[in-house]
Amino acid sequence: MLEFLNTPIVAGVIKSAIVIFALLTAFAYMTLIERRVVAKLQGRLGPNRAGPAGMFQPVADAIKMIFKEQIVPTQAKKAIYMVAPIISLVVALSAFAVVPIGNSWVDGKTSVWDPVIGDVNIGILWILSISSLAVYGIVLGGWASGNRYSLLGSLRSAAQMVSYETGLGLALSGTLMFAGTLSMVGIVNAQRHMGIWFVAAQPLGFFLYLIAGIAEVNRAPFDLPEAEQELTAGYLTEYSGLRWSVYQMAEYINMITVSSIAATFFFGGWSFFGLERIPGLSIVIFLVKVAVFLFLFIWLRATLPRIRYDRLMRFGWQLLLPLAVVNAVISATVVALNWPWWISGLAGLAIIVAVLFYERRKINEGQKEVTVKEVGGSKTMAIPTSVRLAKFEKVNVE
Amino acid sequence: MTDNVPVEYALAAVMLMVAIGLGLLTLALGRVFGPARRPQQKNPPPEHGGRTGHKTWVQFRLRYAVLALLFVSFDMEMVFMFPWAVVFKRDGLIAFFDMFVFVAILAAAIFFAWKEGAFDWEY
Repeated sequence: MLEFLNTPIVAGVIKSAIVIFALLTAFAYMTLIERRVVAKLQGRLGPNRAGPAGMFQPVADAIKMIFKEQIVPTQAKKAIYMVAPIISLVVALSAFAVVPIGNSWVDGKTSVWDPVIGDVNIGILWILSISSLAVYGIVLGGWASGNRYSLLGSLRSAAQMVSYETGLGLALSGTLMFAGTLSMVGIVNAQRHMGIWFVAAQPLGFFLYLIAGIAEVNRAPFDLPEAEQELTAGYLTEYSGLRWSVYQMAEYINMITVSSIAATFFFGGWSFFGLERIPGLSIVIFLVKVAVFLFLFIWLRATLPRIRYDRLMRFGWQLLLPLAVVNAVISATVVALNWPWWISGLAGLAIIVAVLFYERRKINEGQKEVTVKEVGGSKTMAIPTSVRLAKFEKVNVE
Repeated sequence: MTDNVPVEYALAAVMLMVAIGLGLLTLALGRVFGPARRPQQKNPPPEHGGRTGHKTWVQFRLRYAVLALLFVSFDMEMVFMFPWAVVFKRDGLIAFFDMFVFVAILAAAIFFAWKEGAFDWEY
């Protein structure tokens, strides 16, 4: 009687409903965990009143959000303004469709009820192409709000995502050479087959991916689109109530997706030295790995100050992208000549160390003296050599 | 994993449909439970100290127009590189060196743009 459950489509609908429910719950509790962890790191308490250790805080927040007023500004382009958050959410959720959450129930045998929704054979291309649509949600939302802060925030976001997406993709390509497949399940199986995690062969690729991934989801220290001091809240300025929380949802789910890709590509996904053969345990292993990355995101937010905008662009194009190209070339050479994997690992580590030394030297740079003309005489001051002062043209005020 | 490729795509598309359904649900929830009537003076955007009527969609200088162009070329490059990364081991050294030529041209492009100052902030 329950035969219909084994049709792929029915199983797919049920599985995607479960995954979406799990993602939304994860989002809700990520907000709580983030607030608690950041509070702990800053020597505060964080929300701890609603339920034991603040467990019901997300529920309270959700109910509050539902009953809140949703303002549509008079200047907004109404239709686009309403649809934009939904674009963000749909894109964030459907990127997760190809992520393998666990091993198949019987090791080595596939069935329709495996914990992956659709094992598309171009898995990572699916994720990259879908998640590059995320910029539409943000840009349309910011543009349609009819507010200059929103517009500037969304355009910044577009520039940032565009700049870091290339570095992100190229950083992943080294792993693909070792795996020899684009399917996410295939990549995990390749790591089991080789007996290593790809982070050992691709340390440089991993760090590049992590940095680019943080920038791609607009998290601190790359959260310029939402920089409060400069842009109020960037593209979120005009949004309120449930639509605002939909944007937040999209942001956190993107974070989870980036963490999942990092775990799958570089840390063996759901595999852990043979333990994944026990049914169900593979899911727990995967969740732990993702949780470690999510904690890293929170930790970075509490630790690092926001990067300046021109440095952000320069960093992406002048450091991340060339390094990603170098990484791809090294990996290609190692794979093509059938050298062992640790050669690319050592080369990657060497490059990381060299770059850190180089950057360190730039931090210890000297100072230069500039003379600035001011009203009533000029003034000389010492500034770091990398800083260039903007030149303003004279404007004749009528 | 089923061996049927179209089915896998359909399954991934199912996730997309469910996600769209969820998005519409949130819009509906807000409409049902949110306050229906709202005072008009809340509508203008909160900037310029409450003055309204200014234009948002003005012409201004976008400082990364060149970067946008570069992005298009690099994104295309990525799309070419991914399938190549999967199969080049099977196709031997010829394919390997082919890609080297491609990457060399690309690297030349990066350094040219760098020299021209495309990556620096336009003052």
